[in-house]
Formats: sequence, structure tokens, C-alpha cells
Amino acid sequence: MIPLRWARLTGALLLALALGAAPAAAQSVLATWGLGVTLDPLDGRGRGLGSVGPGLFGTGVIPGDPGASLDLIVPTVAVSMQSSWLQVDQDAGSATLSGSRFPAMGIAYPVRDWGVLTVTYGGVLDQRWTLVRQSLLDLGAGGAGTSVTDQFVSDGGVAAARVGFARRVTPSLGVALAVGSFTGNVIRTFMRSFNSLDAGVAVAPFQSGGRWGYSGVTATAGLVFDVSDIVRAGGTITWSGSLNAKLTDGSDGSARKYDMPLEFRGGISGALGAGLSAVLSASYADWSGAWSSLGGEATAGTVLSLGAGLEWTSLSFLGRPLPLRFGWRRAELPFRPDTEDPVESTLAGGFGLRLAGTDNIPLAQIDLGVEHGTRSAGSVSEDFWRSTVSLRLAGF
Amino acid sequence: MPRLLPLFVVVTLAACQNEIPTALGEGFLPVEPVTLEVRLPWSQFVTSAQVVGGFGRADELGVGTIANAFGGTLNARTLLHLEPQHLVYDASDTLTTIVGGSFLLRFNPTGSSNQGPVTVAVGRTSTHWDARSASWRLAVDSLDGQEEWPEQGGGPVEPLGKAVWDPLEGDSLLISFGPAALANVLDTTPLEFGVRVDLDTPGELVQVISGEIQLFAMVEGVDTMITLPSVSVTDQTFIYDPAPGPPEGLRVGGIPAWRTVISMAIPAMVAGTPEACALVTCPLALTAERINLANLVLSTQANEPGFQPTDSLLVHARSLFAPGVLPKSPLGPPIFLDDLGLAVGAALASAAFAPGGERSVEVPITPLVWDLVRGTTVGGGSTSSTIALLSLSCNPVGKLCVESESIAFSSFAGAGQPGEPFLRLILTISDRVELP
Repeated sequence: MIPLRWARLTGALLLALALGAAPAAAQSVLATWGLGVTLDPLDGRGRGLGSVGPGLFGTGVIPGDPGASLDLIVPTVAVSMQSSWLQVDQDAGSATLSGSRFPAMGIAYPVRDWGVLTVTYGGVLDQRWTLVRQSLLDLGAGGAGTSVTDQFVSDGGVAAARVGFARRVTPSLGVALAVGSFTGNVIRTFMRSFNSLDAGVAVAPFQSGGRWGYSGVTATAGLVFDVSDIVRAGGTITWSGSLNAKLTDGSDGSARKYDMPLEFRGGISGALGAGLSAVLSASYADWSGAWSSLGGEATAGTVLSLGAGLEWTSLSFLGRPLPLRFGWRRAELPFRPDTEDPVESTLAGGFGLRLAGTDNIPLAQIDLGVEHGTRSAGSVSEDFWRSTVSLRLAGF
Repeated sequence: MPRLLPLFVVVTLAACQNEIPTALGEGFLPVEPVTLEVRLPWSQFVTSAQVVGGFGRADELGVGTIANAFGGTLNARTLLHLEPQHLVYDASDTLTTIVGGSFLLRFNPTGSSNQGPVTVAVGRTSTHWDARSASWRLAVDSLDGQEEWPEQGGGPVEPLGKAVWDPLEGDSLLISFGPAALANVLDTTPLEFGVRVDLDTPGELVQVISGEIQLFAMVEGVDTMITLPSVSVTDQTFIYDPAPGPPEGLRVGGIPAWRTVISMAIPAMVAGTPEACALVTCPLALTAERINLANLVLSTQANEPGFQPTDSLLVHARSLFAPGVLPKSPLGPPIFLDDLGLAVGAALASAAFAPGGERSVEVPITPLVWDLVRGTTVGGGSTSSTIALLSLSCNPVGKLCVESESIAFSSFAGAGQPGEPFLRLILTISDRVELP
């Protein structure tokens, strides 16, 4: 069994890093449109399997999927860390970016034999992006003009904090419910700076912006259906009230309200043979309601995501189980600049390493999922690598 | 293996740098600002203006001037005091014999008008003079009384020598003493040792940086001639004639220096362009956030002959804390500092003050205009709406400044004259940054 002091030290470290870490970075340039890029509530295992929803064998503590913790019998804390490496190609040039973020964290606590209580925090929309535009302005002093750089920075995003409860109502059927609140904030800043060499004197930049805090209610209901240990099917439906954005810095911008979509997620896992299982999953959401709340040129519509993967659990490493995973995933992004749908396609792989515990009671486990994919929309294309590491500790 | 968990967590995150995805010229910019230039005429932002003279002294400048009918009119001579006791040698020292000497002058070639050789003469003054108050007519002008020169212009002098300085051969000139001049130099009977430096070549102006006496001696029994420690200048000034006439427009600099004092009232609204008025309500409200640049634009005028600059001039803008007590109103700190903390002014080419060379120059006063439209400084303090345009010579190391830079001054068109000053504003107007 994992020593208690190491569990505490690791837990404290995770908490400190979670509080100090940036919420998200290096996700996608496509976040410039609409409300940003959606963030799927997945851990390292789900990423490695190409999953987009519930229905995986085993247990987990996953935001937006309260049913994942259905069979946990010991208190468990789980944190996912994600690193991205992004190559962006645009008309104006290309750039390479990298960043790390915490897409999800949660705690699950079995309450007697009633069920499992979960508290989770996870990202919903990533709104970190920068738009840079250069131009030449005639400032009236003659000459060839003054070089001007416009920079718009959006820094922040929407997350959700949820409290959930999962309970088996029959040996083969479990139900789950989570309610929570949208949280997070975004700082949007525009700055126009002038080339002092062109102007002949230092010209002060123009700056304007505001900070908005997010709020709103969200609730997820989940269902898990098991057929022996051969098949597991799961589904969630997420309803959200309006996403409210309110100015929090006293500036003179206005508050906004966005209709959030009803979101369906479903998945099915099946045992194919000894140690081999397959998973299929899909999700659907209609963001056109949010589009009606949006101004500007972005549009939004229905989003369908599909995923498929294989898991092989027969391998071991130093006497510890070492499941291998492979997957494929195709996800549409809800916000687009024109009629062309932005699409993210990934191939994934990964493994898990149980450090302590048993199949039914994992006390310390690491799951790694690595994805390589592309996104494209209009004149923008992105090639990315994304690794998701989930750390799960139980029994403390 | 569990012991590696904390390390694993740290390494995973430390391996990445957070970088925000950047779209380059792509997509939809949520705001489309308009940057425009607004020119406020003199009458719209100036409530009063005056030219005040009498600041600074020639002896503070640290640089002398010699001129001979420069510009057809200007004559100038530099006066130097040296320590006479440094010229006294022990009479009992029979082993050392003074065999010669010279006067070493150093010039500022870039501040001098001559391109070719000029003749420079030095002579010992025979009249007591005061470096702080000496003028062309007066050797001393103090509260204790005035003493005129026996001959106007620092005379008479006992000649010590003359020589030709060619700026192409360097910035220094050695004027050797003849026997009579050497005897004069070694005569320490007078308690004061003053030197007057003249320019014999007409039509030129030369800036004198320093002067010193060098004496050469032979020591009995030694074949080599030795150079005794040099005798340096203790104070210096310069006198000139004629004095410039009263300013016709705005004037800055000179010795004693003029300042142009301007009191301003920035209007609350200015007219906008159609592009700006499409974004916000017009007329445009002037706010500090919208003002990127505020430059006072001046048009140079030709100086009267003799006071043409021989080098570029600088004009600085400083706040005046108590304009009601002019000319003694204290100056505020520099209005505009660069990244190195140095005051930003307008550099003016000397050709701008020659006939036909008139041009526009801009004095940046952006921080002051921000304070004026806000009504207070950034720190909430009161701000003065009156500025002084002045010429300062600052030591970049110690940041000590003297007023002004040279005998030449800057002339600018005033109110109602062609090239009347105006305030040039660069404004950026934008609709509000909102959520999508």
C-alpha cells in the first residue's frame, strides 16, 4: 500500500499546483470565435481511448460524468494535468506554442452504503487566445506612416464546480446526478501600440478592456447499465441554465447572458476477449441557442463528436498491471467564423500504471493519454500533440 | 515508486511553458478602433503666453565663446581666472629655471562656426573682474557697485600670444609664450591672474571648453626639459556685444536665457472624423485614455544675425508651479522622461534658425495634457496648467542642469504670426471592449 505521507505530500502538491497554475493555455487559435473552444471532461484514460463520454469499464472521478464514480468504495482524489504542443499555420505565418493546464480535478467519497458523493471542478470553455494585427497608419506628420500593432488578448475561461451523487439501484443499473455552478472569469484587453521609431517620439498605447465573471447553473443526470462484466453502457444528459457574464472590475462594459445547450453523451464498452475491450462513444449538443446570444460574425450550430478505442489489460510492468489503450476521436467545434465547420481529429494512445491497490480498489494509479491531431477551419490549420496525465489516489 | 509521485507531478508541469495561442491578422478583431490626428489652434488651448528673460549666467555654462563680427555683428570674448599662487616658485630653488611656457586651449569644434583655420589670441587682463557679473561694459556688477572696464569688452590686456587653430588638426591649440609674455605670466605681483581669449578672424564664432598654462623648466645637471604641473582655470565666463533685441515671437535659450511661458486650458471636446463619430458620440470627449500623443508644434524663425546657432539646440518643457510669481516661479520636474529617465525635448537643427530654414518642431507634453484633462496627476495631486519652454544643458550622469546651452537661442513664431503654434493630438477612439 502506498505510504500515507506520500499520499498527503502528493495531494498537497497537486492542490498547490492547481491553485497556482494557469487555467488553460495553448489550446487553439480557433478559440477566437464565439465563446471559445469546448473542453471535454476526460481524464488520461478516456483521452487514450479516444472517448467522448461515459460508459467506460471501471471507476473514475470525472467532472460532468457523476456515474463514473459509481462503484468506488474508498475515498478517492483525482487530478488531471494536460500539456499541449501546438503548431498553428495561418495566412500571416506559423507559430509553435506549448502550455499546460488542469482540465479536471475531483474528490469522491463513499457515504456508507448509500452511494458515492463527488465534488468536481473542470473546464467547460477555453477562452485564452490572442489576436495580433499589424498595419500602417498616417498620423499626420508626413513620412511613410507609423507602424501600428493591434493586440486583443482574451485570458480566462468557463469552468464548472459540481456536487454529485451516484448510486446503484440494482446490481446492473446505476443512476447519478450532479448539480453545480459555472464559474471562472475572462479578462479581455485590447491594446494599440505605435512604433516610436516611425513616430519619432514615444507614443502612448491605447488600452481598453474589462473583466467578466461567469455564473450559472448546470446539472447532469447519468445512467450506467451493466450486463455482467461484458458490457457497460452509460449516458449523461447535461442541462444548463444561462451562462451569465457580469463585469467584476467596475469598467463600463455590459453584462451578457448566453443560452447553453442541452448536451447528450453516451458510450458503450464491451469485452472482446481476455483482457481486451472496446469502447464506442458519442456526444451531441446544439449551440445554436448560444449563437442567438452572440454578436459579431461567429456562428454556432450542432456539434457531434464520435470516439472509438481499444483497451488491452493483460500487460504488466514490474508486477503491476499496465493497460494499453488506443483510440480515435473526431469532434466538431461549436463556434465558427463562416459556414465551414471546424473539426478536430485525433489519434490517441496511452497506458495506465497501477502503483497500489487491486482491480476493484485502485489506491494509486497513473493514466497517460497522448493524442496527435489536427484542427482546421477556414485559413487556419493546427497540428497538435496533447498529453493528459491523470493521477488518482485513494484510501487516505 | 510512490516516492516518485511528487517529482512526477512537478516535472510534468515544469516541462511546459504557458503560451497563449496567437492568431496573426486572422479572424475577427472584436473592436475596430480609429486613430486620428487633431490639431488644436493656439486660441483653443492657450489662455496666456509670455517670454521672460534673465535666467542663468554665462559662467555657469562651463563653455566660453569667442566671436569676431559673427553674423556681421556679434563680438564675444572669453574670460578665464587662474590660480596665481600656482605660478609662484620657490625663489631659493636655484636649481630649477623656467625656460618657457604656453597657453593650452581646448575648443568644441561642433559648436564652432569655422570650417577652416582661425587665429586666436590670449592676453592677461589688467582689471579686476567678476565672473558672475562681468559683461561687455562692466567688469563687476554687484550689490557693492559697478565697475566698468577701462576699455569695453574686457580690456585692456597685456598680450600673451596668438596662434592659428585649424579644427581639422584637432580640438586643442598651444599658444607659446615669448620671453616678454613668459615674464608677464611669472609676474605674480597682482593678486589676480585673468586671461582674455579673443578671436582675431572675423565672421566666425568658436566655443572654448578649457584653458591652462603650461610651464617648462630645466633642472641643473639634467639635460631633459621638464613640464611643471599645469595651472588650470578656476572660473570662466564670456562677454558679448551687442545684446539681442527683444523677441518678436517666442524665444527660448540664450545667455542670459529666455523662457516662453504658456498657460493652457485643454478643451473638453474636440471635433471628430466621420470614422470616429461612427463609433462614439461626437464631438469627441477628450480623455486621458484616448490621448496617445500631445505635442506642442512650433515653427522656427530665423534669428537675428549673430545669434544663429552653430550646433543643434534642445527645447524642454517643464511645469511652472507658481506662474503668478514669474520670473521666480519654481520649475516642476521634466514633463516627459524617456526609458533612461532622461528628459525628452525637441532637438532643433541649427539650420532651422537660418533665413529660409524655418520648419516645424514638436515638443512632447503628453503627460501634462493627460493630467490637464484628468484634472489631477496620476497620484491625485494638483497639476499646473502652465509650462515653461526652456533650454537646458544637462549632465547625463549627475542629471544636473544649467540654463541655457549657448549664446544662441531658439526663435519661434508666436500667436497671430505665420506658423502660429498649435497642439497636435493623436487620439484613439474605440467602441467598448465587450464579450462576444
